[in-house]
Amino acid sequence: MKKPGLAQIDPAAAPEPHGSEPSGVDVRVARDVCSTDRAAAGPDAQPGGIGEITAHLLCGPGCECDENGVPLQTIAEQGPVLSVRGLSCSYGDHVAFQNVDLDVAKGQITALIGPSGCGKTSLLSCVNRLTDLIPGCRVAGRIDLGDLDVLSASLDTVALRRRVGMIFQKPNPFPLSIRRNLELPLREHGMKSKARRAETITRVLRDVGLWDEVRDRLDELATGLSGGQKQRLCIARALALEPEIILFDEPCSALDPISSGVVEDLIAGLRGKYTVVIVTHNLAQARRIADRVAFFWVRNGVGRLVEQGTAQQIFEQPGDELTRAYVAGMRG
Amino acid sequence: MSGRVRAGAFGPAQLGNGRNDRLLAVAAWTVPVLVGGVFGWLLFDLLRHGLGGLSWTFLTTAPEAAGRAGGIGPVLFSTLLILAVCLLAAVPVGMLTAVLLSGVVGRPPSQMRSTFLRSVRRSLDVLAGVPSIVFGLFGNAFFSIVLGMGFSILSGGLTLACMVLPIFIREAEEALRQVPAELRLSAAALGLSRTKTLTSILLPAALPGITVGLVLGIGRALAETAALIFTSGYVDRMPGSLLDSGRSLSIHIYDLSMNVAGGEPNAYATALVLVGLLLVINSAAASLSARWHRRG
Ligand SMILES: Nc1ncnc2c1ncn2[C@@H]1O[C@H](COP(=O)(O)OP(=O)(O)OP(=O)(O)O)[C@@H](O)[C@H]1O
Ligand SMILES: [Mg+2]
Repeated sequence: MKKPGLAQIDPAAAPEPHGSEPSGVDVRVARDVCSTDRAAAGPDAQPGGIGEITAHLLCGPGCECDENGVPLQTIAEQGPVLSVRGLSCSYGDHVAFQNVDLDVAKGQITALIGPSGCGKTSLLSCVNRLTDLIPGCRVAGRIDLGDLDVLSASLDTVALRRRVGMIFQKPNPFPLSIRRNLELPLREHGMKSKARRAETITRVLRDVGLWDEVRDRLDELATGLSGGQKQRLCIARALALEPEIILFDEPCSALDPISSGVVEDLIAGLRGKYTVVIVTHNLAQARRIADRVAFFWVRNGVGRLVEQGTAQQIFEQPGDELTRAYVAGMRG
Repeated sequence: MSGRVRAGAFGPAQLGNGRNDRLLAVAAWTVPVLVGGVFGWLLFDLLRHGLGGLSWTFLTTAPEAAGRAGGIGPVLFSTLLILAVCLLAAVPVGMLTAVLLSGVVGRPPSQMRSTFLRSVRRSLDVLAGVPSIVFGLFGNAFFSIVLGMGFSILSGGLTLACMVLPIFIREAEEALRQVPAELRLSAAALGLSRTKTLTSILLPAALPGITVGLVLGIGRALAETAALIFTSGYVDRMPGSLLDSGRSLSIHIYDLSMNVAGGEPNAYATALVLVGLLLVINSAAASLSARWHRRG
């Protein structure tokens, strides 16, 4: 039971997970179960393409499953999936942050908190190399994503970005139809079969609880959706590529309280299925959904990582005076 | 007491503001009414003098008696050919240049490259202001003589392309720049290639602006006389090939009203055709761009 199989699960064996659930924020799909059926991979299966689904979380090389395909090993025991060492980032002469060491555990939700301008967004952009697109931005240090040396000059950034999803503060679907928004990345990453694309689109829209709201208007412009719907579409777009890790940059801060709650629940539901890093200014939110928290602060105009630990540690027994003050809402 | 002081302090200023507001309102209404009036009067004048001469025969038959009689068939055909040559040359070159200049594709440019791009941009701005007669002389020297195209539709169309390019490039570049950076970033974050990002996201998003640039360019090209007299010439026969000389609508109007006694009625009718052509192209471009945008 070593081989992965997410989308290839025999529908007869695994009950359709979304049956009649209301607007399900349930992303449990078939991920919790390992499958041995490699032959079921789609006709366009290719190494690295979406056709071949690599099991990132539960069915890694060290995965052990019981006779039902349910993994025995818990995620937290598998060590960090993302490790950042001595990372610095600067824009021209301005240093955004310096010397950051951060570990992100598999399947967990890691929240980055800290005042404006301490480099949280910049840190996320380093992980998927969006910093390449910013004029004058330089990054030094080391980032490892699984076995991948992220900052290596010879890295294939397209492949990297397939493994790292990112959701921005401002919901930004492409000014195309809802369907095209989801199809475009799937096609680009080699899912040639139209039927499988349609299937994936339905699945991810269900996963983000958007299916019932948009099923009749898939060919309408995505820009006509409400803010919360747009953001969920963006999440669906990222999920469609089955990334290993998803970076959220203040995903709720541009939304109304109700949409914000829906998106937050959605993110909380990703725990265990995906590794999540979320930047948030909402401490209550971090407290509700995060397993681990990293606290950043600006010293002399330069961002620093002050402290990291489990959410409980950071919020209840912070080791640093700054952290204590910040989580108590006194500063920042 | 304090109340009176406050009234005294605010009263006159408010009065002044009110007067300024009224002045602004009057100005804000007068100017558009004047501009609209001028255009309306122009159109009315054209219709009054030109509508009588307009007919299907006028559009399809050849001019007779130096244009006093007959129609404008060959002239209309030559105009469309010149325009087609101009667009076929200007649009691909212009789009590529605009994409390069806007820097929306790929990594940020190096120091040297951005200096180069800046100087290209400046040259284009200068070119956009160069009088068309200069383009005419250049086209005559380069296309007609050096490249040996003579007085021909090809030479005229290419000269117009040179004239239209600076405007078109700058408009298209601006339209591409206006596409929100987040779209580019999220496309990159999804691992879309540069080409895919450009063709599937940036170009459709910038299309309305690019269309404006195109329509402005076409307008300039259709209105042109000076640049064409020396390049495509003014032979009013039906052209047999792109290497034949052909007379454009605007040259025909110029010729009829300046050189041909009694040519005015047909000059008016031709001018009406020219304005109609502009309106048709304008609305076709707008609706095409809207349809493409909606298709998503
Ligand atoms: N594109 C850029 N060019 C120049 N400087 C930048 C750029 N982006 C960010 N910076 C600078 O880098 C520093 C960190 O910015 P960053 O956006 O990463 O902070 P942040 O923690 O995400 O802030 P916020 O909470 O407000 O989003 C800031 O001082 C900012 O001015
Ligand atoms: Mg930020």
